[in-house]
Amino acid sequence: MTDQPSEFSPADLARRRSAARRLAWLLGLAVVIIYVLGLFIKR
Amino acid sequence: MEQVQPVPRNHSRLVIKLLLLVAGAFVFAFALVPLYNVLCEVTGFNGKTSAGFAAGGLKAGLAQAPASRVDTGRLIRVEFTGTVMPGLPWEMRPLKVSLDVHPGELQQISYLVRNTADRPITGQAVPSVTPGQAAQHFEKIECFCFDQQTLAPGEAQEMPLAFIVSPEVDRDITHITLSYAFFSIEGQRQTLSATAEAR
Amino acid sequence: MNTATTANGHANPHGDGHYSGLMRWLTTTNHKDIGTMYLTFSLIMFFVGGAMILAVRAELFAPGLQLMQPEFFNQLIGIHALVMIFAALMPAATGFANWMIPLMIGAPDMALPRLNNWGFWLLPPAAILLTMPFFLALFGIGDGALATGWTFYAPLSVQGGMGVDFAILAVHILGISSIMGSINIIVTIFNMRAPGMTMMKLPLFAWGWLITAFLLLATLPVLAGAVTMLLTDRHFGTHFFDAAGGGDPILFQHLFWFFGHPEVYILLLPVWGLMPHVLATFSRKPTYGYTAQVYAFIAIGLLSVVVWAHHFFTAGLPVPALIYFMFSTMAISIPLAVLFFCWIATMWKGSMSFETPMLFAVGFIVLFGIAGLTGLILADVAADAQYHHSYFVVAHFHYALFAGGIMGVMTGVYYWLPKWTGHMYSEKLGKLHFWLTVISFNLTFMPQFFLGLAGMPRRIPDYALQFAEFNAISTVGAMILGFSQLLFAWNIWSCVRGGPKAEARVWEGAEGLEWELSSPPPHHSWETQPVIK
Repeated sequence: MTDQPSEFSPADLARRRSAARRLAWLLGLAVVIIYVLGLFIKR
Repeated sequence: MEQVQPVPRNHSRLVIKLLLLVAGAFVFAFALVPLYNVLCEVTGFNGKTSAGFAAGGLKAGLAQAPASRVDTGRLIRVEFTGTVMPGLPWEMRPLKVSLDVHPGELQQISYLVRNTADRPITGQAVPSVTPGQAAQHFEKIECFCFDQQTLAPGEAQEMPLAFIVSPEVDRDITHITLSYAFFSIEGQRQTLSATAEAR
Repeated sequence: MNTATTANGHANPHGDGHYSGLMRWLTTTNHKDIGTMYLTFSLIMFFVGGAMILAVRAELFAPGLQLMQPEFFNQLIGIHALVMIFAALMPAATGFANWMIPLMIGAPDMALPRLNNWGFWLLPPAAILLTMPFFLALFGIGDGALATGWTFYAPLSVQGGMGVDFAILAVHILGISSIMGSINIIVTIFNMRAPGMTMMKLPLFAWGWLITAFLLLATLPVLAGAVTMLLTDRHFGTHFFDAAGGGDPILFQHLFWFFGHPEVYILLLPVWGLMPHVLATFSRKPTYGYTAQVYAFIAIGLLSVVVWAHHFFTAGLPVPALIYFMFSTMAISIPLAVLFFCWIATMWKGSMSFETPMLFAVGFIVLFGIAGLTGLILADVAADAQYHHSYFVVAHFHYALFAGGIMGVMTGVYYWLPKWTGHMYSEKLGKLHFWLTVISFNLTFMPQFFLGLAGMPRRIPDYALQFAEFNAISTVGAMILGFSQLLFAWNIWSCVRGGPKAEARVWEGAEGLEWELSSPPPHHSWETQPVIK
């Protein structure tokens, strides 16, 4: 299945992997922050 | 990749089964019509009132309302309203806007209905009770909505209604509204359902 | 890898070879030709339905009546919905199925090719029936198209003009076409899979379509029954929905939504089926939770037929029924949450790259998530009493059906277009199209949530002054959204005409039988079936 040359080098792919993981943690953190902020909103 | 000649398959059995599913679903749509009416009568859904006491008339109705059945502990306000639908040149109003009744008590009121046109016209009233939870406990003993009504030109008639609010009605219910919609049945085919289901 | 597929060695690239020109397309039984016709028809109708709603948004730009009378406004919104649902989204999904399912499961063609041709050619007459009353009214015949909104609610539809009859007949024909397409897809999936491809090795796209096809077979006949009753009420003196004759208008709402709710999942299941393929490809990881996704599809299919009454909570249902429909509706969010989890987990720790299809896929997940969360609010009986029939509902279902449905279809188009045409589309234009679409979509519909919360009713051509600013924003967004779709059409057109050559495996991370075939695949593919281990 790997008969096609990849347009990304292995180092490139690894960099994308860690970038994706960083972004995921960041988004998760944002969700938690919004959730916690919501606890302080009084109507 | 290993490859083989495809095996020819006969598709007709599966196609017939799927067509049966389609036909079944189409029949189901029409079966929902009677099913829905049954459901409405059982649950009072949509304000369909109980039809169980309609057949016997006033005399049988009185037997349904022995004094022992009356719940004098509470009063329910029954409000009356009526609308004449477009295409019927009539006027209607209840002689009393509301009545305070004890559950189990037999009550009678009338609607005044007048034909404003210069020709005789036949109409059919369709009742609805709100809230829906009360509808199945609203027993009509006699009602002008059981039959089609014909009024001569300019004629005014008091159309009577006798009913019992069953003592089984939920204690939360303090107000019941009975509404009639009077329809012209001119130019419409007078099917059996027109009178049978209007109850 | 691709050598075997050319083994059938047809001299004529157009295979059947009996006709050329128009007759080729009228008589073709080839799944690829029919798929192309479905997709082309869908794209054309997408612009027809879009033009209608741009006129509506132009009218709503400012309070008061500027461009049209309320009667015409009513016709536009109803026909817009019917065109988008029945003539744009459903044919697009059927086009995907025709093109891709045989390639994905290693079948030489669809099981019932002649039925397939007939299924497509019913669509153009139906589309003409649907829109013809607009043009007839120009010549003084009739009073225009269906003006009841797409839901045909009785008693309004019993009283409406001849546009209602045109729409009823169009819906009948569209329904027959969809039923034929569904039978074909089910038979193909059940009987034509490559040896060794068990049901649990079936591509998820085929699974999604299988559930869609069964839902169509079970619910479209109910809609056909309901509109048939409407037709006989209008012309043959029956009283199914006519209270004067002992009928019940609310019965129509039950019948309509018994079809109408599953219809939402009919539109979305093919998209949910293709998402995992795209996400896995561009994350360079296998799909996460294949089995869980299959069972989620089945659960959603089953639940979708028992929740219909949440569309008319305010019609006066008894309290126990309200509670049942509220909880069963909310229960659907559980299998959907499973799908969202699987989509996100597929991307988790992947080496992601963001080509156009992946951008659309990620955009789909975010925006479709908003659709789901606002749907939960509407499922709440107490809250729905306020939001029912407001712009909140309009915004909610456009997040579901534009961001969920149409952006999902665009994901598929960009993902498979190089496979179909053999050329790469312009990545630059594709990305521009994505960003214009996603920004202007939110500009259009996000304000509508707030308009709805503030009490603006839907389907009314005029509104109170306090709604003016958000409506103006929404109209500006809609204009950008509408016109940026021309980029989409242009990109497809130039990709069909030419462009850099696409390889068999268009995307380096792509897995599956369809990528074993050349791009474009030969006119007759998988005449010898691959064996799956």
